[in-house]
Amino acid sequence: MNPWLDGVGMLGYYSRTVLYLLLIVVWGMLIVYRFLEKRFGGHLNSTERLSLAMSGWIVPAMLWAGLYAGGTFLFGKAIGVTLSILVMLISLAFFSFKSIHVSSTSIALILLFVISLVLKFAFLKHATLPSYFDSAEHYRIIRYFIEPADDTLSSYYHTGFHILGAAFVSFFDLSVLDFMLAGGQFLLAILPLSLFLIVRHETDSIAAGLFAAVLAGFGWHMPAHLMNWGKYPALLSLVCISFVLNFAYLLYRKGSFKHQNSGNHLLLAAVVLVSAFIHTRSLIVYMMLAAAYLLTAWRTRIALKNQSLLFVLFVLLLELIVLQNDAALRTLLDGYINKDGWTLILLIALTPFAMKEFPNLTFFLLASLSFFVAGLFVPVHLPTAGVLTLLDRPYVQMLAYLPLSILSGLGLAGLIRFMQRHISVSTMSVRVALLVAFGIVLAHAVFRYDYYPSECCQIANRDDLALLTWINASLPPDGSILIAASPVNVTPFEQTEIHAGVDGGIWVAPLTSRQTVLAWERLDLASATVHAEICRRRLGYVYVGGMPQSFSTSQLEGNPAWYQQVFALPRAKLYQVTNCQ
Amino acid sequence: MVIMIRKFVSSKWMILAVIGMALFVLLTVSIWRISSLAQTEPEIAPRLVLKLGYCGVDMDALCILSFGRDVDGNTVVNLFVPGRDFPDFYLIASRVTGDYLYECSRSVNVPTSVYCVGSALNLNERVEFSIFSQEDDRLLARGGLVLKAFLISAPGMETGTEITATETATETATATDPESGDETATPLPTGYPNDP
Repeated sequence: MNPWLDGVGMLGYYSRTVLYLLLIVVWGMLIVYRFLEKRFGGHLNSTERLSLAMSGWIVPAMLWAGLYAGGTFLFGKAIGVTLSILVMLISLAFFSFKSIHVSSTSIALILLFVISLVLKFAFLKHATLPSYFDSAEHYRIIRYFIEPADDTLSSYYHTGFHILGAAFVSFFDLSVLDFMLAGGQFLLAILPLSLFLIVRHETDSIAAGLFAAVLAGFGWHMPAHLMNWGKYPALLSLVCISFVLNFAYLLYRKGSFKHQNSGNHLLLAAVVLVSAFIHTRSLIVYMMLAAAYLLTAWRTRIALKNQSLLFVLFVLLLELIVLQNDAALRTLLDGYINKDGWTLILLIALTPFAMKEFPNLTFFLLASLSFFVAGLFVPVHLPTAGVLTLLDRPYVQMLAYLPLSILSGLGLAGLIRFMQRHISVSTMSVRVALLVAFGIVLAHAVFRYDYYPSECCQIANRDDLALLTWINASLPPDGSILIAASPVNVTPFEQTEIHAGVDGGIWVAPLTSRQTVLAWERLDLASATVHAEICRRRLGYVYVGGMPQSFSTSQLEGNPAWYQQVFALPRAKLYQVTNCQ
Repeated sequence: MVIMIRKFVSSKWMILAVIGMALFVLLTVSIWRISSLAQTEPEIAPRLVLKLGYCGVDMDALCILSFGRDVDGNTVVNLFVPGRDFPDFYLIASRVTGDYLYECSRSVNVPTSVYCVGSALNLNERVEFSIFSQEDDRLLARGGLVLKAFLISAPGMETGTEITATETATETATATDPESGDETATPLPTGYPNDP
């Protein structure tokens, strides 16, 4: 398997979707770039504006989606499309292309994006359908917003992501699956580049900025592993979080928080709202970042600055020890230790230099990470959802790459400064140090980074696709199908179990519009009681996928009087329930 | 001239030159890759009859994923089809007893997934499969296989080895149907697992 060649092939396969994604994203980037130029002027150079625009595009894109969705809903698709095109063209009329200055660093960022895009798309070579059970639900909700005739959808969530998806699919007449698959990998390619700004601006080092961006893209299993979980709204919310973090940092550096600057504050508030619309948990993240900022500001006024830095590190280590002893949460740490050992060691080696040279931002990052982890242990009672926590393990596992990448960038810049200040080193020695740091990340990217879907989470296979096509063509529309399910635990407080589909059966309802029922417990299909219950619930069929937790074929085959095989491939089968009395 | 040379060997230009060369190499490889993939598209190479065989790990060309059956005892042939633009087709299975037509259905949602249904095939029977375009009955692909087992995925999918069209399925492929939902199988970790 060659990630580069596979990525090129997949880019060709999804070329239309990628082109349209580029259209929207580049348009959004131009708007944001112009805004930053007007607002920050010489305070930001062109590359920093470009870097921030690589996450800031989400704001114009969401506004566009809202405009298109509203226009289409009220006046029809033709008006919606016309309005959208007009707004895009008019907004570009205010943009002066002469103001774009392409520096060599900007070219490096763009090149990094192109390389990243190709490599991320290798994932799609072996992605049959979007991964895990979340994806099927996201697909259903996007389809619901496009065609609200589906009255089986009783509730939806992460509305912002689904509206953006629906608008994109409807406007460009694309497939929802293509949007999810290609869109996810596109976001993974562009997201890390926005970290260049904060590190470059803080350290005045282009190399450190690029290092943080490269590390964010290829040094950790996150955020790429999110696509194995099918957590598309969470990934989109990361784009917002990245922008808010960078933008708030800029405002802080410009002193905007000390003075009345309603324009910038309003924009910040608007982005926070957009973010909440996409994923409500991002609000918790912003509160934690704000708390970390307040702590950092307080720290600058106290005498024990170094001690406070060590204290927050100590608190974080304590939290991680507690985490490791919890069955539901230890996966978070295991993910980084098992998958990202080399880059973790690099981070640990660089952190002292970050603490020495950039203590305030380092404190802020460590405090933020501490708050994120602490959020795993704070229960929240919601009437509709039961006991949750402020942040759940998958979300924190996803978030952690942000402070870790920035910290690594600060550490690298700190190391260079340390070498230049305390050791008489030549420029060549500094370059060697940079080469070693980048070399470790490159080695990790070549030998350890996983470009392809994980076995853990590809619950649908190609035999499922064939069976789904057969179901669509052959089964009556009111056919009801039992699909395998398993309890899902993500917090240490869960008492009521949430059940989720475990195999390709999860895609029956979204792709064929047949009704499905999740197995209510671990069912022994050889049992007469279970057969009677299946009949009582009027379930006409049983779906058997290719996962270890799928229903047992031997139980079904061993009871031909109750279950008749109607379609069978090695890893996907359908049985009709018979002899219901 | 001297100034130009000095400028060229300065570190910035050297870096740009190295990056430019690397990009040129990557671009050349990519173009070669795209053109080689295009060779699997009958639209682009209309006279080329593709070779049909079992799928391997790297699915780039038209290939057979698995065999199965439906409620009427017909044989189901599950195929991987490269690219969205691969024409709709039907399958002809040439056996000792004659030629048999298999109707093919394509997934609306994933155009690379096609399955064909036709008369039941026998174990250990050598069958030559031919794929014809529905539009103009043009021969698109052909390949011979000996069916060693049903309800087993293409051998290359499990072992990661390439299987050619004329190879017989190996003994490992005749193992019993992989048991899904086996009581003794290790259950998946719950709740958004990491890589196993």
